[in-house]
Amino acid sequence: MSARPVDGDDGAMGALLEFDHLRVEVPTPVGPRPVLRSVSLSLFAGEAVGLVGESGSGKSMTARSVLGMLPGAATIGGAVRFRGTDISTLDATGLRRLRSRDVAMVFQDPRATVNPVRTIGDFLTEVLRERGMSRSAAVAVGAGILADIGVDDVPRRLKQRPYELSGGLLQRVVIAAALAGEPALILADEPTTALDVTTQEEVVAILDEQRRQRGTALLFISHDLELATAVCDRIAVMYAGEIVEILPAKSLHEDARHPYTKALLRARPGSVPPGERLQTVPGTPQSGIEAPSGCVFADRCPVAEADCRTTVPLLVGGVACHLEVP
Amino acid sequence: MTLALASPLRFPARRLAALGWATTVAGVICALVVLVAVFAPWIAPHDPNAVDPLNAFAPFSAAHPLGTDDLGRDLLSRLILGSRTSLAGPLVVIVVSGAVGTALAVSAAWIGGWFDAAVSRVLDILFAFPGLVLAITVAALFGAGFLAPVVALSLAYVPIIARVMRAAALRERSLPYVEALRVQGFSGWHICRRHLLPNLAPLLVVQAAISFGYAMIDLASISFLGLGLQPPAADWGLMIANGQPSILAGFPQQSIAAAVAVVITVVAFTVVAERMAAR
Amino acid sequence: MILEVTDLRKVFRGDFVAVDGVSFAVPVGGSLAIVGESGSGKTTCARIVAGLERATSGTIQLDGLDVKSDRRARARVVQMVFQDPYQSLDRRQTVSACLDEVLAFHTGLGRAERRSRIGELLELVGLDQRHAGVLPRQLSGGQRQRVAIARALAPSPRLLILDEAVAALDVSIQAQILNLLVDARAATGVGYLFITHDLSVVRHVCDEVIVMRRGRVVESGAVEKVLDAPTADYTKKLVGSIPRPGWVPARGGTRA
Repeated sequence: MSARPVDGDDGAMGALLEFDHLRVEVPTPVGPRPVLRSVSLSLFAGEAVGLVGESGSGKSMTARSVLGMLPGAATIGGAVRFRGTDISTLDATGLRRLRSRDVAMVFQDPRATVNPVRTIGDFLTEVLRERGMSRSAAVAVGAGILADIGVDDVPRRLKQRPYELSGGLLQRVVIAAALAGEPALILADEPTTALDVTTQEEVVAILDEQRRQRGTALLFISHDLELATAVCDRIAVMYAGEIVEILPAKSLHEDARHPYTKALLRARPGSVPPGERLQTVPGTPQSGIEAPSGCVFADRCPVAEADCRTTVPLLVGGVACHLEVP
Repeated sequence: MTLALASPLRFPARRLAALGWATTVAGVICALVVLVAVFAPWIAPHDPNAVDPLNAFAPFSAAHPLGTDDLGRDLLSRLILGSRTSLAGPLVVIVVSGAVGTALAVSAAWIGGWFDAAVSRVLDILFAFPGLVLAITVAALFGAGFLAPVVALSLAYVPIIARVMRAAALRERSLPYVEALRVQGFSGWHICRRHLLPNLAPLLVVQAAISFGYAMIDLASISFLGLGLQPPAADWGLMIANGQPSILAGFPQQSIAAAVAVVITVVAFTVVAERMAAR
Repeated sequence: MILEVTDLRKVFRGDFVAVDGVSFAVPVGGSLAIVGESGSGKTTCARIVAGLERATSGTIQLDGLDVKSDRRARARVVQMVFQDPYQSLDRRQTVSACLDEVLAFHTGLGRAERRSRIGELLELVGLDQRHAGVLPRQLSGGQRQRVAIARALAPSPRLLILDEAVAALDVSIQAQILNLLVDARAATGVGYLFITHDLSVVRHVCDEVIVMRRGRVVESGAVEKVLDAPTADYTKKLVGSIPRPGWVPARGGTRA
């Protein structure tokens, strides 16, 4: 289904989405500081990549850059290319086309995403109607997708309004609306964080199943490594505006090499037998603005050496760590 | 390759500086007006009430920088002395309405239930009365002067302050830190006095500063209508009114000078207040 | 028992039954988790025990006393840590002022004694004197939650209610706080009533667990027993929906 790079991520040809040394700086009282330092990542058609990190890691900003939704005051370096076109070169029409046809976004809180006074049917068919599809045809498509993802009593749901639906059901409607436009890529930013765990399972199962059937690529943003691993082909771990490690989801636990990835895996309460202490990383998660100028993780890394503070490690062989380079 | 997204927010520092300039000027004006009011008797070049009929309607001169009025009184001195009552009136209004309004708002938000409902209804009724009409009615009933309109206007401004403060107090009350204090066993009185009120204080200051300008215009209007301070008191609203006949005689200085003083002061206070509110 | 709740019932606005006949107990120095999803009534139980809500019926005994006694006395037995570390501290109050207010209210300590006690409390939660003079906004989420825990421990309570106290924290910080909770319990002998939706954090802090759904208890027992060999269908579903190595999400959450 997808051509998968063996290692590294530079200059991959034929990628659907490519972050090429993306750097985003925002003005601060002490001058411009980077929120994203140098993000390079390629996403191929039909592939699912998980972007995992803690607060301030820049994972949401990376996703937003795809749609040209960065803060107005930001200075951007590098490029984000969709099907080979640098999105910064798109005019308003091109950007609108990208947002409405090629890329769909699913946010964390469905209630903040859906217009509360319009019906589910209106919301679901908005994109299709925008493209000139007749109302009845658009409703048929929307109803079909709702049925596909296991929503019962579809005709009644279409007439309901957002407040009449539970959060989990509403998020399924948002996913259905994202799928209805038949995008090549779905950006899902913490799509289940606001939901109960049993509902989360249902929603990610639907997202996974539908995007596989349709061959849609997925950029899945999450703070939960295990959750991302379950629905993605590859995992990119972010820290302080930098991708520190990219590796296949299947072998995450065995192959994790970056000290931060290992620390994240060990910090999960399920990782050690009951009664044992959790292994923790000292300090708090940093953003790109606060992180040291060498390796972004150097301040908190248990194995950092003098070199780590001064030299930026390159992402080679899937890991950006001085100590992992032969 | 580097590109910058076009945006008005691209140079926030410069924008801030631009906003700060207007605020600085307004702040300086506010401070000057207050200083003038405090030291009025020492600053005024002449006795503001010294009548000199031979020198009526004197033009601008070194002795009388703004000229004199129909009775030959020095306009600059009257303007300077007038700043006292013109500032004291609104000040009393905002202090009284601020204190009463906040007390009502916080107790209504804290106690809730029927008490909140009762307070809210009373405020709604009071709100329905235009403040100016209320003040005029009270002045007509209890006699013109400084006190009656100021007391009436203080009452009329209570619902304006209380509404904003009640909404803020409800929001504040719903924050988890208030529940944390309740679990600690602190009394409602302690929580309101030591936590709620100090946290609401910045909002109250902003509200009071905004209301100050409105109260100043309202009181000037009442004086203009002859229901406030009585001649020969120097008061800006009264000066605008008393200058009216002189306008027909071709001497508009008195009304214009007093009106300009009112407008500049109101604008300066409002600019500073809006800037504080934007923070 | 430090806490004994019997047949607790809470009805909101006449018809919505949030908690329906729930009983549980926490032994002195013990640790009980109440686990459930939104609408399960777990938070309502916690709020009733903390005195923030009144039960419709049922009895609550704290330290053998009926809790209709005054709030100050209750606060010396039971304390609470809230979910949101950003709003559970007064934004205008420095860390030391926050702790000092509580100590002055609950203890007879003089100024100097309170100051040294503040130092002890900060050390207990992994902070130091540098943090004493700062305002909440200068602290990270994890540090604020440490302050909230220190404040809750200040009156030396016998029971600490933790209402989703680690849910809003980043994974690496959550691990720090979970370890801190284990240490604080060992150091002070305080008991925990741990309210959470996340079963995986329960193992590290709790001995016993009750699983709630729609206001009722569906399963209860020792943590290992309930998590490793759940018997109720709902518990099985809950345990099965925790993302973990090798987990495959399924529609309808059918796997047991």
